[in-house]
Amino acid sequence: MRVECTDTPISWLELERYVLGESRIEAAVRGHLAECNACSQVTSAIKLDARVMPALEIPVTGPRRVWWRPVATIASALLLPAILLLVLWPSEQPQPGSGAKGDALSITLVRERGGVLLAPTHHAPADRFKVRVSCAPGMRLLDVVVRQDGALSLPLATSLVDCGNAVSVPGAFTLEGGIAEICIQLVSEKDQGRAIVRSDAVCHVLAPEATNEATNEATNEATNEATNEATNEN
Amino acid sequence: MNEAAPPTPSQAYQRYGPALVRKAERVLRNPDDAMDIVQGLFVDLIARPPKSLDLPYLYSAVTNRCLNLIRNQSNRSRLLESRQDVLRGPERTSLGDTVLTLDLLTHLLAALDSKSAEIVVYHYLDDLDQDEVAQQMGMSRRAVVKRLTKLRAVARDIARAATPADDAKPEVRS
Repeated sequence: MRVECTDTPISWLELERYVLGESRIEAAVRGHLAECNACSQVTSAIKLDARVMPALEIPVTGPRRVWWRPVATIASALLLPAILLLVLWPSEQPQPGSGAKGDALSITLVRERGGVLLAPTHHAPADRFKVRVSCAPGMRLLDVVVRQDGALSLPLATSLVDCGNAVSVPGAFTLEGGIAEICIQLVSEKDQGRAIVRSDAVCHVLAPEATNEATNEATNEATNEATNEATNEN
Repeated sequence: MNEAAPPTPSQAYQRYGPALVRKAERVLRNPDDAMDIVQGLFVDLIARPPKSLDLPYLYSAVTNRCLNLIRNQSNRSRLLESRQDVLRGPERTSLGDTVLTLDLLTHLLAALDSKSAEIVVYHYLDDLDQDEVAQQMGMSRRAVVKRLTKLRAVARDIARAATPADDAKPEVRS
């Protein structure tokens, strides 16, 4: 619905602040609204929309995985002498540091279709994908970027991930179209949410799944070949 | 003068939530996705509270999340199928002869960089003037004007390429 403002329209942002009593140009806004039907209409729409926000569903962040604590205690008690031995042993043992398992960023895709998990080699419209990431411990910002048909997109919002081994990235997505490259990259607060693939991104390629017809043809060809081979052998 | 203490993320959710949902609805034209965007934002903000939680900052965060959602191919098709154009609200800033429909917005996103895409939303959907857009994005007014000129030309080209028979393409006002 197009409405004409008498002058420069007062932005939704400023009108929202005006309605909340936070406008820094309150007198000017009031003066404009007295004369402008279009901006008054927007202000009325804001005031009439008396929605109440539903309660937020906050993910549980309390004590987690309490069950493993006793196991960890026993394991550490058993491992401590071994660790001391390794540290104090005066031999040519490799030094801990870069290249240690777990430091590198890696991606695992979970492909689910109708409650069944499939190998993450292909994609089809009925598939739902989740991303699992392994990265050096610590809280990290992470973006998932999809490169497909020459375009880049972000199927999930930037996530704050408590890095570790095979940590699930919140959210899931579906894919349609051609070959898809799913990339993950650690980002800074400034760079988050940008549809770019950085040089240090880690990617996983998924080919579009062949249609039933194509699959049947491929299966028939394979069967025919096998039959021919068997006949020749006989 | 005593300044009020800045709101916590939970307080900001109750105070600014409705304004942000309205904003997300203007962009996405879908009430469920708009609510998901705002709730998702505040879940993240509660986990990692920023220094400032005022409405302009939250507007910017919601804009980026909406654009990211539209950029995804499957989300885009779903949004176009389920769009409720009434959620756009009164249109006060025009894009020349062209109407900024959700179709046109998706086409523009494919053709523009992320900053220009943000400018489209601020200027044509949120009705921020050029100075306000510059302030919101931390850019000079001149840079905003330059990008607006370029994106108008892109929008014209897209609208011109649209055919009336193909309703996946943007509408052109007669």
